[in-house]
Amino acid sequence: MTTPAIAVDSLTKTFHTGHSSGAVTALDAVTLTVEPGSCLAVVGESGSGKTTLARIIVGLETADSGTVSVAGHLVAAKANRRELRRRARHIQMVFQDPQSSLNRRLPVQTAVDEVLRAHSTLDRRARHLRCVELFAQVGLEPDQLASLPGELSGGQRQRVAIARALAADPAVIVLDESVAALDVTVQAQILTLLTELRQSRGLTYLFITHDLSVVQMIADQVVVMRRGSIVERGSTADVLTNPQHPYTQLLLECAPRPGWKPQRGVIRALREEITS
Amino acid sequence: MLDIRGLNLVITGEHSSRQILSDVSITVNSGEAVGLVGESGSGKSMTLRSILRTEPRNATATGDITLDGVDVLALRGEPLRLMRARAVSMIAQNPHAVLNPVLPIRQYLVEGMHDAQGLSVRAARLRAGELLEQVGIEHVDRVLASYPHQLSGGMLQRVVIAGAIAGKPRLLLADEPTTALDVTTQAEVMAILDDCRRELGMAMLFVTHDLDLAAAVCDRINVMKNGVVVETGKPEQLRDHPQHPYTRELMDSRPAGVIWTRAAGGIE
Repeated sequence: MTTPAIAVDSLTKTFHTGHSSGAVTALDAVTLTVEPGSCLAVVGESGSGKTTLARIIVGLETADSGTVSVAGHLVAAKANRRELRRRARHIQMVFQDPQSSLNRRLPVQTAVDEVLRAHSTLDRRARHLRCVELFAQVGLEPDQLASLPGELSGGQRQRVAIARALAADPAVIVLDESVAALDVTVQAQILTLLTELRQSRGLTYLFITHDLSVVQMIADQVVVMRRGSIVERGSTADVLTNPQHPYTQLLLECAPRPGWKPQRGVIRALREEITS
Repeated sequence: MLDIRGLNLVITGEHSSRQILSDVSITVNSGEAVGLVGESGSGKSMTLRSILRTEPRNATATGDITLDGVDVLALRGEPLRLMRARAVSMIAQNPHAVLNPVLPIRQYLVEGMHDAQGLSVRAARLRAGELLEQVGIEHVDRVLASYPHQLSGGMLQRVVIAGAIAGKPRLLLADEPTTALDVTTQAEVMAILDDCRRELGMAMLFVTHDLDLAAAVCDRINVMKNGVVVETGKPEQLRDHPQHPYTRELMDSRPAGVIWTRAAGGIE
């Protein structure tokens, strides 16, 4: 049996809001594994806990209880800097909005170069060549290295973010709504790029999304989350064609597609089934 | 009822000017839902704003926009205000930008009906409750007493729809009304909007980036790119026989749709 690229066991996280009323359970004993070289999509709506899950896996957030292993190594709950740096070499993240994750005053090459400086022993010249190479891999021209983020389109900026993630030469990339802010035609191009990169570099993806129609374009496996729990999991084909949980059925029923009409009666019936 | 003919819109900056719309022609017949589909920068929202005359100050619109025989581009002052108050209502993407955060929902609805339609405050209060029921809100009294921050985005958008249909305008303008919502909420709000529109016999111009969503509620769709309407047709025509390569690209960018069809089999 191969070692999973990511193994998450009984992960729980509660956020305490300022008011006396409250605590929100973002994750409730979530367990999942991602096989090396595969793509697992985590699907859910706002408040499902999908982004919290991603942030804990890459170490941007700590869990209350449960464990995360990346490539067989148990990840410490409270990581020190060295540990975080080691993890960053294994696992990288691409966010929804490259506008806010790239410094708008610096040429985009800086973002990629920073990662190379942190994770490699290359000298300045070698790093520049590596940047050119990485840009080529994500479909950008060498002269775009000197561009400011504002001079690039949304799709091009997301390509820079992907190049930055690749710079650490990670085994796993966590993509958090990475195509959600893009126009549909650009979205399709980025999804194609991600699929090609996964195949050519043997990458593993954890793909966080709210959009079921994107799932079938990229993922082998799917988990569906609702209010901090996984309600359904399986192969993409199974979950999309034969959904078992009423919440998955509701998500599918509500996804716009050719010939689709939103129907209040159907939506209401499924909602009642979920709460019963 | 709405006829846009050869609309051009130029935005003049200090040093240069930019053509935002080029020769845009769109017709909306009485009671008809028409989609305006395009990606960011296509000019779809600017077309909508031109109808309400809320285009930017440094923009110059030329061409013809007629609404029920009235030349909209020539309207000024009071007649323009009345057109905005009575003939047309707008549903925008972000309900938070529409609703006053320090006033309860009741106030928003009552004020609108009192000012725009001259309803007495008493009558408007009664009507506010009816309207919320119409948009599928269950705890009407609680919602009427709530402030915007106490309600979810889906709930607020229903309130905005209630306000928009209050005066039974002849034309609804909807600019990405469900884009900020979760998919399940989007479907529900879209269904409500569609039902209300049909019941009241209102026409609608629906701006969206989502071709499938437009197809679900529109009789005809205009596809826009770079300020130009590249193709107009019925949803089925666009789906089965797209004429323009850009329409085809839009279709191909989304998967053919998931195969699951249980709901079509009917659990209603």
